[in-house]
Amino acid sequence: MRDIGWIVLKDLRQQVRDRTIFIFGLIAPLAIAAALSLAFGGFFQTEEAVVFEFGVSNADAGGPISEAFSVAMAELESEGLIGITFHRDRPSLDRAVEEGEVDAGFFIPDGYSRAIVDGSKAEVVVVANPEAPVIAGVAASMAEQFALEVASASAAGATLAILAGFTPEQMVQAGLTASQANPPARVASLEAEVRQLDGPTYYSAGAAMFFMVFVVGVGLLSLLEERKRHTLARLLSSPVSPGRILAAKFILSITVGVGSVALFMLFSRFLLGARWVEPPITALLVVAAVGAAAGIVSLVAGWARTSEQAQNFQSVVAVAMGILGGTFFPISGGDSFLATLSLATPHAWFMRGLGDLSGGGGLGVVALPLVVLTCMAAVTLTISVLGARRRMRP
Amino acid sequence: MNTPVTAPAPDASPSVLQVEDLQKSYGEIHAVKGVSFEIAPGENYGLLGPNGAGKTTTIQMIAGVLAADGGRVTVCGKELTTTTTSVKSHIGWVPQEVALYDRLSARENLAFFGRMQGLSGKELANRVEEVLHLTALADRAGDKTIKFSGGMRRRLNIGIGLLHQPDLLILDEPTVGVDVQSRASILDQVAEMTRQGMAVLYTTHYIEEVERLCHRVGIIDHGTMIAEGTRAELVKMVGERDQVLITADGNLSEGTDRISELDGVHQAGITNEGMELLVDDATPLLPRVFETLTRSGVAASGVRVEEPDLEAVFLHLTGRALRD
Repeated sequence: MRDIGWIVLKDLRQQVRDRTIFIFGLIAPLAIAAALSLAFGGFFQTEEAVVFEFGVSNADAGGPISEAFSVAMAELESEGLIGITFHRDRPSLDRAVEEGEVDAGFFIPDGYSRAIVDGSKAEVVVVANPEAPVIAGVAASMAEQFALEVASASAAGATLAILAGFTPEQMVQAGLTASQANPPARVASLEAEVRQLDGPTYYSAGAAMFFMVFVVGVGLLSLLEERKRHTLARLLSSPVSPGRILAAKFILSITVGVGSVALFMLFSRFLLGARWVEPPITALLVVAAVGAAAGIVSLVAGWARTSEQAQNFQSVVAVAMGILGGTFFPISGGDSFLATLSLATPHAWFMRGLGDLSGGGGLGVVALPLVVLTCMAAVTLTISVLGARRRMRP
Repeated sequence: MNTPVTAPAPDASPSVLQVEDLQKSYGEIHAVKGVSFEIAPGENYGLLGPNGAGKTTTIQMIAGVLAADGGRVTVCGKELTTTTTSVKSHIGWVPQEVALYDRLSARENLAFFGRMQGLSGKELANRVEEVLHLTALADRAGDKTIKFSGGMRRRLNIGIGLLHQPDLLILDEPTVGVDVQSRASILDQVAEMTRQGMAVLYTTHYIEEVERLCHRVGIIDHGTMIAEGTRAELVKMVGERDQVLITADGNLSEGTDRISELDGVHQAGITNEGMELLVDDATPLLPRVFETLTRSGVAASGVRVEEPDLEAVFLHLTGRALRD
């Protein structure tokens, strides 16, 4: 095993002397996270989590479902997750959003509850500032979540009504009564990945993940470089098995990936005010995410014939996964197909894991992201190693 | 003519290297077709052949970095494959290309490859210093190799192969692209290794290096060993013939074709400088040779008549000259 260690150490020494790793692993993500945090997240708001202010205008006053919406929003406010102000009409709400009094608003049109009971078209209007796409996405996400809950409650209610022979009015009344104990619908405060992460932490996590992909292919690139410079042939002529050389290269990838994220997290804690909670569990998430990213990058870059080509492949993968994985802007607030697609990236699961973890709860709350990331890593790394074996020749 | 090797005769003890019927193909191309030879301790064996003859492929299979399709390689009595790692510690391989880490210093390169060969602690530190002195790089030991000249890099490249004091040193064209001074130094080092009892397999397409260093020579062409023996044995194959080296320019292809048809001319081949002929007796033949050259549009600027050397042997065996 010592020979593996010496190979990793030699490669690390070369990487450190090359300095590129510091640019991609530390300087670039710090710069990007700082810029994004400054633009969207309240730069240096380090002590408290960001609380979005929402306005609500309910033109369906007295409607059981619109009331449920208002109650659910008020509950979120009482938990300190959001701020709420109520507005008498739509123009007043629009003005509040326009003038920045609130970050976004929800307008419930007249007849909203009735429309839901009748099964006709009903929607909560999200009023947002187009220059604040993140908050707009968050508000849309909350409205979508509410709509889903209502749809689910309506289906259940309709079934009950048919079974009990209720009239629509009786059904609504029954719903209202029940809602006092157990509201028929709830409003999700934010989507999982942004629910509890404040701005600096969200953008730091995104930048760390985005740039980590640029450095995590170092093992495969180093193998291709060794082949190009004939040092691989020299290694193969020594009493070290090809499997050990390959193992060293993949260990190098994981080491560099984890190292760069860890270093970045440390710097972002002090420079950007990012809050990384439960370090051991966060570390597990980082290792699993780095493993998955290393596997995916190696899998794609493994098709390359030269180290230059592999670097290009790596960049394409990094940018595509970064955007798709919602490292800079939450995807889930937008198109649902994209939201589903984003789950194919380790980025989305990493961000989700961090989001879940920041609300507390320990290992249990990040079990799903952790398992998914570990499976991604296991599958992609296995295929990558098998593919890389054909590189083990002069 | 170069001075033949003056090293003591090879040891009569069992072979350090035994190569039997080695074969390798790349798709349709049969690169090595059943090459066999042996090297004794303290023997310097030259593998001579033009570019593309199969020398490097043969060497890579012997070094254990390339899997053979057929045949067997035995080093110090143990069979070698690409996966039998322990046997490889008996071999020091110096690849044709300089194989160094640019961002590491000479000392770091040596230490790393020494560790890969299983050296450690004081033994490693001592060997690194010895090799640095042997390669005359002690005063630049801490410099990154990217700052080294071509000759210095070549010397370090060889030094890495010597680090673990192997029983068999394989040198694949170690002097390609090297300045005259470094080349002389490299050849001296190799001769010294042989004197110390190391078996050396030396490939080159430079005749003078083989004649200076090697006890025995194998001539390889198109993946086949076409002749093997001491220099004297090989030259004897040519017989009592003269080797005529002509410095010339022009339509050399037509010139050699026409000269080949002259009585008394056995072989004619094109070289870097002009052409090379193998003839019965050069003196009466030369006027007709020059006349033919003139008629063929070849301008000759010089001529040398020499006793046959290994170049003449290759010409005699293949009908072609060894060319760069």
